[in-house]
Amino acid sequence: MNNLNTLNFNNLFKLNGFFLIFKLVFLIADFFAIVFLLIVIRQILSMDHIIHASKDFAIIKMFALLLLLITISLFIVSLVIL
Amino acid sequence: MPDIFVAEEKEAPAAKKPTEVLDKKPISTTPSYYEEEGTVRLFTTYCKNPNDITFENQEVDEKVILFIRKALITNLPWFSISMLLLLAPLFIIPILMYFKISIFIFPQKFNMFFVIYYYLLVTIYLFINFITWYFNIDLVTEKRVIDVDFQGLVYKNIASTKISLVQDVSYAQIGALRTIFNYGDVLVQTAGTIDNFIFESVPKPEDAVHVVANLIGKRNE
Repeated sequence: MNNLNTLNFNNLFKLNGFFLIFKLVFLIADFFAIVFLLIVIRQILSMDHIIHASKDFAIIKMFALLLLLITISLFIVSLVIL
Repeated sequence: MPDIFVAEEKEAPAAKKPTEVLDKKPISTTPSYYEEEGTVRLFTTYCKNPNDITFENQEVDEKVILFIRKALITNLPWFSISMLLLLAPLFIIPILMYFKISIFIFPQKFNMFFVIYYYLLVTIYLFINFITWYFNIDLVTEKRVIDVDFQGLVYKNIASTKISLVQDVSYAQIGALRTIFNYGDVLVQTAGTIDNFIFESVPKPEDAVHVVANLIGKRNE
């Protein structure tokens, strides 16, 4: 019985460690995605300054912001839930 | 003494009716490249006289004559890859299930996050490729040629030269795809040590060459 309990505990610990690594991978990937999107938004804003085009620029900016918002939300959610 | 020759009295010519004057079209003094006017939209690749494009350091009397982006067909490789990546899970998961290979060894919440992250990364890939195409712009104004190179996310090169420094303009249209879809590279040769300008994979290259050649001709006149 004792052996069984120890075995289960060990398995559980290993599994948790495994999941923890995955959680870290998710968070690091998400962090890089956020940095990446911030660079994209910065570039879009600088281009907007250089060439003033039609209102399509605004659509692209809004889409980039939406992507950033989703990525940040995912970062927070994965930090809390996973 | 009688006059030998007396000229016949001619009636004074009647004033032209206003309708006749209106019928004749006024002779245009504007060059041919001013004839069209357009609006640049999200997927516009070639536009003469765009009325909604302005740029940094534009002079008051400087008008944009030509707006060019790469031809839409040049986006086919990354667009195809994106579509394949978007549709891949819909095919791969049933195939794996058919062969009884389970990929869902993780808890349910992990699987959900896998899917969300996957689609987020594919969307970011699609978006970055789109803006790389969208911001690669070439402009020809009455006074300058401007080339905006936007490659990747950390490389941005904006070059411009005066029309007076442009010596020659030519285009190359090599390959079946380029011939079918009528796009090619336009080479704007400049004087001296200034780098030449290459408008890569632009639609209607002969038209673009014609516009720049007109501007050079106008300068030489």
